[in-house]
Amino acid sequence: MGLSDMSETRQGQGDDDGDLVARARSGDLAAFERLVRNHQQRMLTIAFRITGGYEDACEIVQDAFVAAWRGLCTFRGAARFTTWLTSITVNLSRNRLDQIRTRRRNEPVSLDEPRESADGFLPREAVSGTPSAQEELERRDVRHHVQKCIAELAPDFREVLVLRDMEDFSYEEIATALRLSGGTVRSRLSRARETVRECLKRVIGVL
Amino acid sequence: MDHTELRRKLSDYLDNAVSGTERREIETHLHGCSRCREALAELEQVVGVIRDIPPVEPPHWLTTRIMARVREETAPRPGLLRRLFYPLHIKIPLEAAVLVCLCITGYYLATMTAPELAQEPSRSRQAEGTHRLPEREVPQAQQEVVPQGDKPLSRPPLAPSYETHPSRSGEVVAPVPSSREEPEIAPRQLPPQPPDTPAATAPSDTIKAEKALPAPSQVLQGAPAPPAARKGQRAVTAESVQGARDAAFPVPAPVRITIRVDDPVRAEREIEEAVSRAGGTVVRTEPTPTGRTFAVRVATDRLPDLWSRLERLGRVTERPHHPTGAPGVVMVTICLDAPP
Repeated sequence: MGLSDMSETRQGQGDDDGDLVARARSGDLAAFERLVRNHQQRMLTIAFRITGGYEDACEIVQDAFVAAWRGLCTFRGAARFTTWLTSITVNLSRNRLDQIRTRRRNEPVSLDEPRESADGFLPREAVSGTPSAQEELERRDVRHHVQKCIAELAPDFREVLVLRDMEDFSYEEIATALRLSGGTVRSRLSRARETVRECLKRVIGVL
Repeated sequence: MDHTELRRKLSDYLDNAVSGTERREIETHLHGCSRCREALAELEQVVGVIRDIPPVEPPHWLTTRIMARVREETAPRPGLLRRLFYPLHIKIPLEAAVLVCLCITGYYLATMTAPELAQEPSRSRQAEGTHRLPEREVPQAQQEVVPQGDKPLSRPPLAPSYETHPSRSGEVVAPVPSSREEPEIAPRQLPPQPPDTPAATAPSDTIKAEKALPAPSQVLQGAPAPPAARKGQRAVTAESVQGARDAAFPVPAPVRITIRVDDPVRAEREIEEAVSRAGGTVVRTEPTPTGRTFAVRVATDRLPDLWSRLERLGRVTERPHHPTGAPGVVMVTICLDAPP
């Protein structure tokens, strides 16, 4: 399956948000509930990929939709509703990530627990080393390792990769949602993909 | 385009985010470079794997919970009255209890602080009384401090300064004590007495004078009126206890004696010496057209001594009738008459 085909399958989501947003701005709760149902999974995925915690992601999504409801009057439609909502979700995810880091930094260190990596994440198991039989089986699961390699990315790079390759945002939308320039988005995306590729080659060997 | 530059652009090339020129350059390079083709294939594979990762399934309650929170946001906030008093069966008794507690606290505070406020006038009264009652002791102390004859008007700090005040007819009738130094003297002179004892409400001839006459400093120095608080305190003190004091102690009336002398300068010195030897104090002296007046404070039982000393100085033209046996202190105005 080509990249353009995959893009087409994910495109089109949220194109009919305009009418729902207009009704929600006038106080139509049913319209807003439709928006919630349309976008909650996407926002949950983004929050989960950025924070790495399901519970945290669920709370972030709730907060994001409540914040969107409060801020609907300020939403003028310059960007797509999805982009605007994603911007809120990413900001809340960053804040939650900072809280998680601070919490983990203040927790007593156990020799049994893995150390914090340079980007603030705590890898649950070593990527290299002598693998057990179970680990050898998991090693074959490329998707599992891809997720681990993505989780090891620095947050700034991970956000761009998640939005582009997992949620299929355009470069312009990513730049809008993350308040970055187009060049920065391209640069970060290129480095993020290259880092994941190297990580996978290191873990699996041959792709 | 070298290998490093091409590798950097492979990501954009995959997303079809390069210009036509760049695309041709990249494809030309890839056509002749197997390693860069391999890198592109790997990158495409990685992106494909990432895009194959399924989205996260939301919990079934997520929509419900989000909408519940949104409805909370849209629900109108109750008004101030409703927030204050509703539910009635809880908040009304609670607020009533708080109100009762506040009233009790206020009453308690009022009863705790009121006696202090009420004691203020009596304290000042007591201070005045304690200051004036032991009149016999004061002259002895003053005799040690005040130099004989030279500068009778310059008072040491410990000596209570008394000034004479003109009466309605313009005549000097009564000296008035200044309360500026009262606190320094009162505690040493007399031990504190219960408020109901006669000593605490001791009669004071000066109180009457204070009530009728302007403030001492006003008379003596032409200064502005004393602060209102002081005046109010004096008024309350004089008016409220005057009757009780008069009933308890007979207040000696001011006494006036006039002596005609030939040598006024010498007579002045001798008057001051006579007063001092009689245990009295010259409170104030003022020149008159024909001589000088001395306001003197002296114990009543020493008056005969003072009369006899004054009679030696010259001819007494006006002699008072005074119950010399009564205890207390009397203010005497000695008029020195020296006709030219």
